[in-house]
Amino acid sequence: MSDLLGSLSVAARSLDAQALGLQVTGDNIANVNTPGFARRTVDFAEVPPDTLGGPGNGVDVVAIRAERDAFIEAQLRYEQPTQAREQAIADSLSRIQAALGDPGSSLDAVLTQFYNAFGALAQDPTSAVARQQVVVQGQLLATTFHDVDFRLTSAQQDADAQVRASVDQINALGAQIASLNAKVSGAGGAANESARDQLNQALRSLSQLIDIGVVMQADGSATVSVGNGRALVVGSNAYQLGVAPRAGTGFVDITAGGFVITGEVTGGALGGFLQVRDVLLTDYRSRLDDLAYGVATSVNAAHAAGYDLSGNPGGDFFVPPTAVAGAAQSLSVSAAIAANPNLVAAASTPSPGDNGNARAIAALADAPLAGINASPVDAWAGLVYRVGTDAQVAAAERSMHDQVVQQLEKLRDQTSGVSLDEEGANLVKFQRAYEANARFFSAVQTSLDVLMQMVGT
Amino acid sequence: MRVTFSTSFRETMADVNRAAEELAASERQVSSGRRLNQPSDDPAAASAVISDQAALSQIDAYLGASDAATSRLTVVDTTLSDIIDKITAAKTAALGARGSAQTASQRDAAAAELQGILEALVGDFNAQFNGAYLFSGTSATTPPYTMAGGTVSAYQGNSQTMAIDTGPGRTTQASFDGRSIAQGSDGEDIFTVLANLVTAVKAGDSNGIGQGLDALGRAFDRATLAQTQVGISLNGIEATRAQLTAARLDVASRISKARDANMAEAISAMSQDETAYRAALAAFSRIGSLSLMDYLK
Repeated sequence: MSDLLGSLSVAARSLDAQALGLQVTGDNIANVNTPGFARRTVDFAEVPPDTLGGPGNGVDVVAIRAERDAFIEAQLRYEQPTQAREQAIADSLSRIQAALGDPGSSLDAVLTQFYNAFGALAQDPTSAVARQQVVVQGQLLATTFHDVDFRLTSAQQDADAQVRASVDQINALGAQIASLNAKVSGAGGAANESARDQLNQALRSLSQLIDIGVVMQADGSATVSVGNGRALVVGSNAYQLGVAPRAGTGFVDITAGGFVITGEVTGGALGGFLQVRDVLLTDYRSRLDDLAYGVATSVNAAHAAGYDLSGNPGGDFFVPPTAVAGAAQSLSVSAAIAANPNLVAAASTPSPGDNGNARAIAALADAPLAGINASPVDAWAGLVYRVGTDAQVAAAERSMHDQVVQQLEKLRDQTSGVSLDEEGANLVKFQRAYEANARFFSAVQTSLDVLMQMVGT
Repeated sequence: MRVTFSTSFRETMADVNRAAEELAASERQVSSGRRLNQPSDDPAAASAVISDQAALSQIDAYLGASDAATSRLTVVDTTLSDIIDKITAAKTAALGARGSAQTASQRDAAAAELQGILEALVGDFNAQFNGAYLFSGTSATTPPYTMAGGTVSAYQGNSQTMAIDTGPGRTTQASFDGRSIAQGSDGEDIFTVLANLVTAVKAGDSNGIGQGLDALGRAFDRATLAQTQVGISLNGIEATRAQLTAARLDVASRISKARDANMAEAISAMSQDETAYRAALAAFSRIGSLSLMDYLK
């Protein structure tokens, strides 16, 4: 049965539908640069006819869907933490490298000058100038050790500050995810594509900060866990991470629910900063301390075996370090010797012209230090090599993971990205459909007018 | 495969960044002249440069020590020459005074000359270098012999010697045992010999003069031997110095090879990277220049 009035409403509905299509296309074009945006598509469906075999009742909009690939999103969340971690390590190490100075003119040059000063003293053991020079070089060596240790400690404090800042950011993102979860799982949440987009973006940003485990629930909300399954966000509840200062260093541990989880965080920028602060820099500082302790102890031992200008046995040249840890920071020339260079024990017998001990100390430049089994300069070279290799490896890893993430983002774009050409074609599609439906509307309207004219008067 | 604007943008941007990073690295090499600007550029080379720089510094220290030793030994050499001359003059004077044809005044003149030589020799043995006595063994602050009221003391130094390291594994003796030159294995030192000779000459004692001449002969031999040894040491220092200079050149060129950039290669790499960067920038500017939107009315 024909139904002209019914056709009018069909036309009206279809105009609405095509206009909606235009609107969605416009929304896609507007959001071409929005991060995390998944392009929307309109699902049309035919409205079934009133009676079987009759004409259909036009078009209806079933849903406005977002095109997403959940697998790619999950892969990105999986790969991002490693890339962010290596980035954090590479950035920190490039600053630490600068702290080590130029190869050949840093602590190694000062070490060589120190031993050479004893060599110069050996050439003229009674010379006041040579003795003063030995003291000056000893003080310079101590100062240089302090400087390098200070720079490494500052780098550690920087990393600690970054750890604290990352925890703050993680907590902020956690709160955001919790509120987005509420929107997505609440009333009307199934259709709230923009909230889902924001949720994905927040999860992505969070994965750059820390390695997370995400389980997407059936209602669209995300359950986020960190470390060994510690809950960060469950539904609309966010559980904050805390920081607890460690005794002695003032550096912070990460806590979740009161438990310390520092060892469980391995990925993301937070993992990178923890690695730099707790593993890498601790190793570098302990190597520096080993070197300072070795130098101070070996020089003191040799010095004590000699005699000073007055024929008395030599005392300590450096203030004996109390422990290996902190030896670099506390190294100093003994006050007695600094005040009176004649106490420098250059002789190996109680004669003022004997230079045997000065020669022996000068020869320590090549002697392996106890415990390190390398000469002082070689021990420093070993530290520089370690830092250089770590930096090189971090840069290579970051570059490799950059490529992986880039590939994944390309795959994500294939599904969810807005292609301006495609949207342009869609504009034409909906525009022409709108024109055609409008024509249908006026055709029906003209037919109705004819009918009215027939029936009236 | 769908290609979206954001894919093209992101990938081309990454390429531009990479090209810029490489260009910056090559520019750094050219401007600093080094291929090793930080340890991560080549950790093994950085470590080798550190060790080599220390070796270079040590060679320089040996060269400095060679200079110091040479200066000291030159003073010793000059002093020993003077001692030998004095001993020769003493022998001549004593010889001249022997014989019955000499008058008392001639013998007195010879005795006075011998006395003068004795005093001068004390000065020679007390030679110093930078305030340290050269012939006192290791008692560098104590003069080997002092003269008080016309008599010379016994030897006040010791018999140990001090050596200077003038090369790897090479040492040079730099202070001397004055007693071994002045007395050696004789029963009396040269000052006593000269003092006795003065007495003998004044008294015309031929036997005494004869014994004194013999003792002076032995002192002459000891001083000449010492001077020969100093000459050998000085030659040895020169030979080692030549080796050290050659070694220094080797080490310096090793450092340069590890640390410095080959300028021709670096400049050519820089212009290649510049071209790549320019190409990446040009590609970037093309993104999105073609679009369906241009063709829709």
